[in-house]
Amino acid sequence: MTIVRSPMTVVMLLIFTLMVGVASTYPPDARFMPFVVGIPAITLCLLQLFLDWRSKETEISADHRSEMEKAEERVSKMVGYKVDFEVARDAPDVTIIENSDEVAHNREFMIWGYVLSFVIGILVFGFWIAIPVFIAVFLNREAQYSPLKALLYALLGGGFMFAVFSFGLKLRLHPGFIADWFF
Amino acid sequence: MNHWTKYIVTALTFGALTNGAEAQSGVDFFKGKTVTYIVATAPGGGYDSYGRLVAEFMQRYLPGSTFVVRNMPGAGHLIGANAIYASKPDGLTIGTFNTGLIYNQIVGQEGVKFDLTKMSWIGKAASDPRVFAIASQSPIKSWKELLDQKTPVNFATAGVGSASYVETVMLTNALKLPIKLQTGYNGTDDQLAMRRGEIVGSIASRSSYDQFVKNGFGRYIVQIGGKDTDVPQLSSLVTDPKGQELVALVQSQGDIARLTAGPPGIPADITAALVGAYKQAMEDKDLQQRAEKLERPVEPLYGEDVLKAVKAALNQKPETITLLKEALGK
Amino acid sequence: MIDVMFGALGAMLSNPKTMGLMFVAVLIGLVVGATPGIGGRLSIALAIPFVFGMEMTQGAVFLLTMHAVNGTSGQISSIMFGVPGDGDDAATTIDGHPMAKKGEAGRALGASITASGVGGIIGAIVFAVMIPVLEPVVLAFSPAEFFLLAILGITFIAFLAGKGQIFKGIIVGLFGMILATIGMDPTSGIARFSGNYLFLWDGLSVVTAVLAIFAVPEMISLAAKGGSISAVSIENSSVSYRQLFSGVMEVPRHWFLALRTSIIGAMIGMVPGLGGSAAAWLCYGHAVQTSKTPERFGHGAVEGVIAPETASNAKEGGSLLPTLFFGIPGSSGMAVLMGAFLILGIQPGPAMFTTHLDLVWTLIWALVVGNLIAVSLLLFITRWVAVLTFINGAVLVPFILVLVTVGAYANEGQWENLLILLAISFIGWGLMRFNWPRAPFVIGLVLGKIAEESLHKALGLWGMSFFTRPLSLVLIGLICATIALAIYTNMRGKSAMPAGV
Repeated sequence: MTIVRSPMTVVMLLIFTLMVGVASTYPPDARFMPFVVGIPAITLCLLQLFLDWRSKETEISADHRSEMEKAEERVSKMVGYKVDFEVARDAPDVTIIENSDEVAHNREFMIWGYVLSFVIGILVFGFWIAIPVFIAVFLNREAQYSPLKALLYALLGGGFMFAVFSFGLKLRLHPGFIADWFF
Repeated sequence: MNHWTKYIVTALTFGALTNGAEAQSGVDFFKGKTVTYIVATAPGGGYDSYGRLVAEFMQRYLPGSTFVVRNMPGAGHLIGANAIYASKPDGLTIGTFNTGLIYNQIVGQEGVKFDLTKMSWIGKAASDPRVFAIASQSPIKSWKELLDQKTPVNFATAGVGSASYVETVMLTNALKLPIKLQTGYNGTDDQLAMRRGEIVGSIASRSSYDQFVKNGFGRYIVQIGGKDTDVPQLSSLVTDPKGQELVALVQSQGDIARLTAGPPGIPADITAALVGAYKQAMEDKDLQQRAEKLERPVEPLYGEDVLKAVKAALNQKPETITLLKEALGK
Repeated sequence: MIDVMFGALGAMLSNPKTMGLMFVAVLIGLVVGATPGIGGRLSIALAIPFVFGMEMTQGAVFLLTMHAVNGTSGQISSIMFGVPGDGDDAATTIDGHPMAKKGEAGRALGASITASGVGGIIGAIVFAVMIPVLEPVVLAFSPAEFFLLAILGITFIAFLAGKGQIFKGIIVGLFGMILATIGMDPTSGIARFSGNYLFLWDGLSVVTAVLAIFAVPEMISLAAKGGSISAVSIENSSVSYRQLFSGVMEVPRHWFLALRTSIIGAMIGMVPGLGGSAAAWLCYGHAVQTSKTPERFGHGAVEGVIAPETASNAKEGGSLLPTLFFGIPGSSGMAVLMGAFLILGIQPGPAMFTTHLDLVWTLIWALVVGNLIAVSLLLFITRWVAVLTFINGAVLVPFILVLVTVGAYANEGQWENLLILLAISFIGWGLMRFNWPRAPFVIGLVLGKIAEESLHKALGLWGMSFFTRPLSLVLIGLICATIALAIYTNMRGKSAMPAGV
């Protein structure tokens, strides 16, 4: 488990080493501050790596299961036999389903996919196209909204923001690279 | 009339009509169009306020047009200037930036993606002469007293490479002034430093110091350019020819303030329409009043005249360019 | 003096046009301020054309109120969504958002909004009180003191790292500081780490960095985990005026802290040159340092919300002072405001305080009354707005991400900032996943820049002897005391924040 703790330390070490390396090509005045900050940082990263390696701490046994699994266990104890819950996803009063930590950690990669696609969409197609598309797709796939409902919210949201930013503040939001490529 | 006369008269009339129509077409072109006026600074502040003023009034004199101000701050006006230069030369994008970019171009700084001599010049609105401002606590009351200083006095400039730094270094070196530079004073940092007594003086634009001097916190000992008569002109106090050239270069800075320009290659009739609207805007009493409230009264130059001034400023002798390059640390 | 004071107030309150303008200004300021990244400068710049025709007092009141209130509404998204509007708000996010996650959004907002109001009012009072002694106080702070103040703030990083995490905390802080070196170095004219990338020449955009470190990882985590922002269901918490009220009452409960941080904030505002976020972070650090139970911070300690909010609002009142008295703006927002004042015919300078004292008092009152109006409005709508923390996160996340990207872009108008946003979000996400502290990053980023610039100026002016100035010695003493205290508390086992904040 000690390996798990190290990746961030390694990343930090790499960043600092890279920046100090680039800074060493600068004249003395310019490289002063990066050195003063970067070199102690590299030292600390190495120290931290050492601590990570030496660390025999076992993972704190926190309960990483989801609320639903914990509730299942409580009710099972109460009634004396194993109980399995199943909740209809769009039952009206139901509070939202939470995932266990492990599932959540894996899903984060997928969510990153959304974020990356959204930003690329903004860069290529501009804000006013990317915003409604992103909202609609996300609501549809993650919040289980029907396509029509998702689209409606997307257009409403996009329209509202357009009104405030474009009309109200007269802000020009990135129109996307296709505007340059084709017009 | 005989056959030939009729022909000639028709031809002449037709020619006159189409000529008039061409001039008219320049202005007509803007009906229903949106002109983007790029300001190379963040919103608020001198360039932005002036830019918005110009945009508002030019819109009035190009009927049917809509002027939209777009802020493109960053890299000391370089980002905005580059953007103006690279935009489509259809007359629908113009803007304003710091005249100090002349220095950047002369020296060939990286990041400069424009050639000021090629831009389509609309005009400049004001003069903003440079002054030597001295803190009121300092005993220095005149140019001669400054020259007589035995130990170098602290002068504040903005960061290394900025227009204020370049001008101060050049003038100090060329005129052998007893000045020690303290760099890194941006915005009005230098005024506060003068109040604290750390800094004795600064070479700055008059518009940024007028309020300070009015409040009795400082005084001007010499001025470069401009029509104000309350302060002696540096050009009259400098005898060395190299020094005089340098002073002329700095003066060109102050003379061409609050400029408006567009990318190279805008069709002549459209440029003419823009210059015409700009001229009418500058002559508008409303604008003149507002400009005075903003900082400097209107002292305009239009189109070709500005280009001439810019070309002259960019055309420097090699020694001056070397001086500049040294000043910028290259 | 007294009759001028209250005369000005009376004149302002009894003029319906002035009050009307103030109300409009409050509304505009709140709306513009609520979105991350969109600064107050823009709203003032847009308002300037309208100001040309206004009568002097009314125009000044309008603009000042709009500016003062602009910083107040950013706390809503900071607390509820963990999306700070700028470096200031990031300090509120550290403890405010965890409160929302515990279902206490109403309480957090009640406390922070009230703290803003109180801070703004105390800031105005400090302004009024300091008028006679302003000059010597402001002029006592030179680059030497700025440098040491920045270092003092940076030492607070040591307090913000959790138990056994002090190295990680300092590493993250140093990371912020080294990122602050990106851009055109004023000392040498070299564009550090930015080469031909002009958009980096002015340094990393603080708004983008702050959104990337805090907001994006939070949203990713929320979307992946499912559920709502509040881990506690809506029935178990109480989103009602009662919860709001309990938040409001937290401020009087911590009245001494609120008073101290307001005064510190106002004083920092009064001295131009220390920069915007410094006030909020220095006071946050102060709150952690002076608390008997520092381990609660980062987990939802209400003092962690009160301290930065009072400070950043008090700073506005403070920064008005050098602006009016010297004609030297106390902050970049004040610089724009001052330009507008000149248009209105107001001539800042010492003369103002003798010939136009009634105008000065009108402005002070405008700050006070404007703050009160803003606070009342915000408290009123909070009741409904706080409910959002109980909604399914999957619905909120896309809208918030839209605001984050718009904010990151609109801040400087550069699309490249979106790429920076992605890059730093990635690191922020890594920090969150591996339980590294994130708060030190902002401190390093904000204060690192000030530290370097001031150090350079101080050395240029006095050489190494700048340490021996009297005020500098006091600050050095404070820094040593702070470090000693940090080591002491860390060795005793108690430390400020648990992992992962």
